[in-house]
Amino acid sequence: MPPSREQPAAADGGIEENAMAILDTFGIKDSRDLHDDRAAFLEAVRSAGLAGDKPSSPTRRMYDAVFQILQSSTSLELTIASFHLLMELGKQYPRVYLTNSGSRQALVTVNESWSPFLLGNNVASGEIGRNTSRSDHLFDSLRFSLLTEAMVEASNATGAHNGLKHIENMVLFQYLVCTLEADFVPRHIAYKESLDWVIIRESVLNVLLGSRKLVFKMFVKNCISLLNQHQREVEDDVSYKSASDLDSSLTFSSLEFEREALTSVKKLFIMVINLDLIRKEADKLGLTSRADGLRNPILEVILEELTYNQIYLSPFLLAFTEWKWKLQIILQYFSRYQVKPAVRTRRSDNSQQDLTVESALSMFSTEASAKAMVKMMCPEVAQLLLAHAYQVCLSLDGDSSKAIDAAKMMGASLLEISCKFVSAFQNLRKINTSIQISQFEKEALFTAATLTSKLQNE
Amino acid sequence: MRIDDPLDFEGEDDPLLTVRRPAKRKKVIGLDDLLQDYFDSGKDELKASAAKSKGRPKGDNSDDEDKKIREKEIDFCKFVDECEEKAKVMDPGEDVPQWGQRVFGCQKLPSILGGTGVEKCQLLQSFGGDEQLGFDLEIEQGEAFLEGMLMNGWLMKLVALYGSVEDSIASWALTALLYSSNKKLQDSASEFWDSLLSLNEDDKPSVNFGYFPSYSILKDAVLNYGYLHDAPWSKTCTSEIAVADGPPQNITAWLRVVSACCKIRKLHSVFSPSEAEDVLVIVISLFLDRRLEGLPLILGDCLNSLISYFNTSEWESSCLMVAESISKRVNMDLNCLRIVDCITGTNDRSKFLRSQLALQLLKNSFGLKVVNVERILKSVTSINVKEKECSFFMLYVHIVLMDNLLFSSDAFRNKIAIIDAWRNFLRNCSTQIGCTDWRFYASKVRNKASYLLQGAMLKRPAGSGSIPAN
Repeated sequence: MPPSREQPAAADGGIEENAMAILDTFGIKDSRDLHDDRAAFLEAVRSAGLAGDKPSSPTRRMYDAVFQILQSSTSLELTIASFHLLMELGKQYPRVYLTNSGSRQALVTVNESWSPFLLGNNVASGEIGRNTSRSDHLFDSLRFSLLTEAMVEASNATGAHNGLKHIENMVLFQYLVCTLEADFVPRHIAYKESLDWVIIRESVLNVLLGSRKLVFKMFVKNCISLLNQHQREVEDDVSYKSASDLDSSLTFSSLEFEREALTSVKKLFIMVINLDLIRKEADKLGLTSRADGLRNPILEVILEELTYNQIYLSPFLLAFTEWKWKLQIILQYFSRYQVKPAVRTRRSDNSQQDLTVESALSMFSTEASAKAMVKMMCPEVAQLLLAHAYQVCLSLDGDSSKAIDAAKMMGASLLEISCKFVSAFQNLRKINTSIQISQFEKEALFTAATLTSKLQNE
Repeated sequence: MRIDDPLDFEGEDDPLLTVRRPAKRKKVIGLDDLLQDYFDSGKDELKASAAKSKGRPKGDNSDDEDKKIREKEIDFCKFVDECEEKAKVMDPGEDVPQWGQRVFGCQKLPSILGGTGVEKCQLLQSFGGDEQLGFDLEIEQGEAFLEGMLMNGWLMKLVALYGSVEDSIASWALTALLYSSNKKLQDSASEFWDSLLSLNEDDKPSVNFGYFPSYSILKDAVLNYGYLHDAPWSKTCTSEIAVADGPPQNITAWLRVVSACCKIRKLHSVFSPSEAEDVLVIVISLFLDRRLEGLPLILGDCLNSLISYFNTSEWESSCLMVAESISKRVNMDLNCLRIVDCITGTNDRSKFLRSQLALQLLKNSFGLKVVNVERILKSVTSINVKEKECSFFMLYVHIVLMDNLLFSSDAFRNKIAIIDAWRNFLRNCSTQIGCTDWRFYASKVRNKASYLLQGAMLKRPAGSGSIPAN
C-alpha cells in the first residue's frame, strides 16, 4: 500500500514556507522560546505530513530541519519528538517500495526523496566535500562508524557521560538502521525474484559499508561490544535512585533506548549477513566487478572476534537471538575442530559445510572423543556453545516455516538431540569432575531432561 | 615593569622585551579619555548637536534643531516609561510553567508479593532427573530457578513445545512483569506474555492458557505504582520535585502488556468498554508526567491499541467519556496543549478523540453546561486583542484548542459560517497585534494566528470556491 506518488503538496512552497517560518529566530528572547518554536515546528510538520486532511511528504528543507533538531541535543522532549516524527515519516513515505505489476513485484525507487545518508560514489565525494556546511548533519560512512564508536565510549564511561547526548546517539542509530532496513528489505524481495545484483549493489547498506572511510572490522567490533555492554548493564540491575527528576527520567529512558539500539544492532547484523550471501551468489555468477570492492563477510569477522575475545562469547550468544545465524556461528566455531580425521572416523564424507548440531554433539559422544576435543578447545566454551546450539534447536522444532532449513541444520530429531546433549555434558564431566557448569547450562540440562522424559512418554 | 603599565601577556615571559618597550607609551588611556573622545567624535547625537548649537552663532535652522532635539528627548523619555510599564506587566506572566503534571504519588508495596507458591508447579515437581543426570541443577531454589529459566529463554521454549502453560506459571510471570525490580526479569516476563497473547494466522493462540491478565490486576498494579486516581494530578514543574523516587520502574512492562491484551479481543475481552475507557484515561494522563518523557513511542503504541480495542458501536460514546474525564483533570495551561498534541491524529479515531478533547477542554474553560460550538466560538472570538487586560496566554491556549476542534476531524468542514468567522478572527489576531507588542505571549498569539490562517488557506481544496473577500 504505497502512498500516492503525486507531487507532494508541500512542494508548492506554501506549507513549507508556513512551517519553516516557525523556526524564524526573529524576536526570540531566550532558549525557552527557541524550544517552544522547535516543538511547534515538529508539530506543524507532523500535521502536514501525517495527520492533515491530505497529508503530503515534507520537503527536503523540512526534513533537514527535523533531522537537525534531532541532533541539537537541547532537550529530551525535542529529541524524542523529532525521532518519533522521522520514524513515522519514514514509514509513510518510503524511498523504496514494491508494486505489483502483473505477475511479479517491481521495485520503485523515489530518488528525489530525502535521506539521512549522504553517500556519493567515490567520484562525487570530492564535490560533496566542498559544500559540507549545508549537509554536515547528514551521515556518510565515516560519521556512521563514528556514531557507533561514540555509543561504545558512552556506555564504557558509566555515569560520567552526558545522558542526553547518549540517548540522542542511540535514537539516531535506531533511526539510521531503520532507514537502512526500509531500503534493503524491499530490494531483497525484489532480488529474490529477479536475481539482479544491481538492485542490491545500489542499496544504501552496500554503498555505506563499501566505502573505504568505514573500517569494517572496527565497525563490527564496536557493534559486538554494544551487544555485550547492554547485556552486562541489564544484569547489573541499574538503580533509578538519582538526584534530580531529569536525571531519573534520562536513566529511565536510556534503558529503553538501549534495548531498542540493541535490537537495531541485531537487525543490522542480519541485513549484512544477507547482503554477504547475495554478494557471494553474485560473485559466483560473475556479476560483480572490481568496482564492487572487497569486504570481509561479517560472519568471519564476528567469528574471529569471538575466538580472540572469549569473554564476549557468552553475552554475544545471549544477545544475538536470530536462530539461523546464531546456529551458523556456533557450527562454524565447531567446524574448525572437525577437520582432523582422527576424531571423526568413518564419517569423513561429511564435508565441512554441512556440520549439523547432531554432528557437533557427536564430537562429544564418547569419553574418548570428548577428551580429544577438550585438548583443542576450552571445555567451558564447548559447554556454552552446545547449550546455545541446543536452545536454537528448541525454537526450530515445531515451527513449520523453518522446517526445511531446520531439519538440515539439526540433523536428528529433537529427542535424539536432547539425549545426546545430556550425554555430551556427562562425558565432559567424566574428563574433569570439577568442571564448572553455568546457570544457563544447568537450565539447558533441566530442559533437556524434562523434554526427554516427555517425548519418550508420547 | 611599572605598576600601572597595561598588562602585556605576550611580553611577560620575556624580560628583555619589557625593558625595551615602555618608552613608547606616554600615557595610559583612561575611561575618561575614551568618554571625551566619544563625545567629540559626535557619535552621541544628542550631546554633540547640543554642543554644536551652543558654540555656533545662531543660523537659520537652529530653532528647528532645538525643537527636534527636545522632541527626541521627550519621545525617548516616553519610550523608557512605556518600556518600564510593559516590563512590569510582563513580569508576573513570565513564568508560565512548562507542561508537566504529577500523575504518580507515593509508590506502595503490593500485598501479593509474599510467596507466590510457584515452586509447587508441575514443571518443577515432576522433575525427577537429578540423580539420573548426575548434575546438581539447584532446582530446589524454586522461584529463583524459574526466574533463570524465564530470563534465559528456556521457559518460553518449553511452553511452546508443550503447547500449554500452567496457570501458576502464567500468573507468576505476570507478577514478575508488574512488580519485579529486576529489569531483565521484567523484560523477559514481558516477552513471555507478549508471545502468549499473540495470535497466529487463524486467530488462535499458539499456546493454550487459561489464565488471563484482568482489569483489576492491571488497575491494582498502576495504583500500587502510586497513580493518583481520584486526587487531582498536581501541578509540578521539573525543578520542584524534591522526591527521590524515580518513575515507576515497571510502567513500560505494564504498557506493553496492556497493548498486548487489546490485541486478543477476538479471543478474550480483557476489559469491558467502561474498563477500557478507564485504562485509556490512565494512559493518556501518563503523557503529562515529565519523568516518562522518554516513552512517547511506547505510550503512543498503547494509546493506539486501546483506541482500536473498542467496537465501532462503542467508540463514539466511550470517546466522549474519555475526553470528558481527561478534560476535568488536566490544567488549562500548557498541559492541556501537550495532551492534545500527544494524540497524534494519524487515524480517524485518533482524530476524533483529539477534536473531542479540545471541545471538552474549551467547554470547561468557558464554564458551559452543554457543548455548543457556536457559543464557544463566540467566547473565543469576543476577546479584543487591543484591550489592555487581554490575557494573551489564555487566548493562545484557546486558539490552539479551537483549531484542533475545527480541523482535527471532518465534523466542521462544511459549516462555512463557523469556519469563516474563525478565519476572520485569526486574521484580526495576526494583523491587530503589532510586531512591537511586548505584552506577554502577544507575539506568540500573533505568530500562531498567522500560521494557522496560512494553514487554513492551504487546507481549502483547490477547486472549490474562492476565498471570501474580506
